[in-house]
Amino acid sequence: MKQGFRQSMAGLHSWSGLILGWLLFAIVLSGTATVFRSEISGWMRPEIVKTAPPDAAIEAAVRWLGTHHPKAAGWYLSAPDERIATTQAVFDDPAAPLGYRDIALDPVSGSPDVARATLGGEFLYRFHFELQLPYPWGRFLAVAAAMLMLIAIISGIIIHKRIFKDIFTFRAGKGKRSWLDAHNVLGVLALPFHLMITVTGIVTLLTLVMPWGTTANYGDDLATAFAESAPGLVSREAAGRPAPLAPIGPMLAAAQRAFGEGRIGRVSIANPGDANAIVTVSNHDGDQLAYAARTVSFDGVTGRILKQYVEARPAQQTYSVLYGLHMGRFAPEVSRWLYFLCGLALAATIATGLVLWIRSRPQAPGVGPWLAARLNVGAVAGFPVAILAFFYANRLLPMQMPGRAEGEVSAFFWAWGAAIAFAMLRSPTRAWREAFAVLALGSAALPILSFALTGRGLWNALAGGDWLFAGFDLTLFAFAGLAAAIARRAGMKVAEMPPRRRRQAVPA
Amino acid sequence: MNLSPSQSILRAIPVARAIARLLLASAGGYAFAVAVAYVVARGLPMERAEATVVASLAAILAMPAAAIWAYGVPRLWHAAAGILGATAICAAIAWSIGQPV
Repeated sequence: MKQGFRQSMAGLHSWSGLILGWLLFAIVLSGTATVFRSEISGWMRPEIVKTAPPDAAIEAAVRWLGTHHPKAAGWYLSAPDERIATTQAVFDDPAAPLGYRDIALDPVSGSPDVARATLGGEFLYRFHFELQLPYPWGRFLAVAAAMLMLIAIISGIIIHKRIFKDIFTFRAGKGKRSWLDAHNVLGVLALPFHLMITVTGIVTLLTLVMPWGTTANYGDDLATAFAESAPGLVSREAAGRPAPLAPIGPMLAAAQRAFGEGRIGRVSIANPGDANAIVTVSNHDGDQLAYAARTVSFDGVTGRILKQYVEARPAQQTYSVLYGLHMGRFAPEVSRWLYFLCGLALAATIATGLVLWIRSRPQAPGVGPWLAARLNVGAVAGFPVAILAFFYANRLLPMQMPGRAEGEVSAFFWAWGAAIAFAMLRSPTRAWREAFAVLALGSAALPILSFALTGRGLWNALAGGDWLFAGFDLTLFAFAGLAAAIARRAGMKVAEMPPRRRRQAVPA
Repeated sequence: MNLSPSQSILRAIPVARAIARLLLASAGGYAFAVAVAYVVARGLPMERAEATVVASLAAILAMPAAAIWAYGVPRLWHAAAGILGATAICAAIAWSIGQPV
């Protein structure tokens, strides 16, 4: 009976892991990269060198938006901070391909034209949960993948007999046994993180996938539901009468007084240029675990405070903290790197799990296993190649090219598609080796190319204290080393593997 | 290969059982989660905006629990009775409480 339970859990674990495993790998890796969303954005806009204080940058952004996009229904701004110099602006624009724009504005001039056109880190952030699919299908698919991952993690824990011991078990060069050890070590070592990030990932899309609690208590009355769940937000229809927006500076100063030590984070301006304009200032997400903890709302025309709100209800706060835990915006330098490393461990757990699925069925007939073995290469090696292609396109596409930002995204998908096609045409053993060799060369060459094109390279970055570029280049070199090591081992048969490093190194 | 009708039915049974379990775990699991969301949202003695949040959080944990249970129980009809029964009970309680006004 007990054996039967464990067996059915083993079946559930391998199938729930496989079914969207390739997609999950892409979601986890793009999410891991998103930990450094600000830094990636900064690297992708090397022209931005001047900084401005958050309030001055917001004033500049509002000036530029008022001149160029006065008809938008709302401007949603994120103030610059010590991690990113630009103001991020999202607003509706019927002329944009997706119906809205998500652009970075220069902190001094407020213009998006100072830097090259790119989505920067925002692309990886959006891809992480929207998968470049139309709303809401990408989000539904992402949350289905997360739910399958949660089921795979729980069933994985159930089938695991010796969680603690496995942390210290890795037997190299033993074929399938080594893959299983690696899968267990990577999975168990950061298990609390894996569970946390999966559950909180579902929480970020809670209102989309689980609206039924709201329906149970409010029926169709979504306006009341929204008002009660977010009492801090003031919303009102546009009056249809034009009225100039009051100067934003004094409103930011008033919000700053309300926040005390906290910084200004997001500034949203609804109905700009209308008599019913509303300015809502939220404090910075990096100042506490909870996401969007305090808000101050102003009448946009008079600049008078309409409402101040600090969320203090226990359930709402719990939700907000779970959300904040997933976003990881609170994390200072060291914990940010921990998020990044644990994310990589999760991606590697998925990758080794996918490989194990094939290794456990070496003689399985049919098109399914054939395809799975090749999709493994296309996903695990192909997705990082796609991210790399996105970075290369950022450096290589002509500055004034029309649709340049979209061109970078196209490069990403073409590279991913090419990697999958390549994996279909080669034997998996060769494809692993060659794809990781490409990854290693590509990662190692990017800092050099970037230095040649921008003049910002590792040596002068280290000398000049340019930690953004130094960190980015060093990370790329580390990935190049990792990819080279994988490429070297991927092509070997079990018999050719060096027995164990440590034993070889001892003869002295 | 020619199979008699009874043989082909016997062959089809494992497939049908596998599909039934998959449906129980996925659609059944989600239905159970919805029922949990309803009963917690209406049943908790809290401000209704608060109860709604607790309900949604409980619901997303109810789904994987139901899915794992659907696969963990050896007999298919036990799994079906458990998930559908629990869903029905939660739904009935939520219905009897009714929407707060």
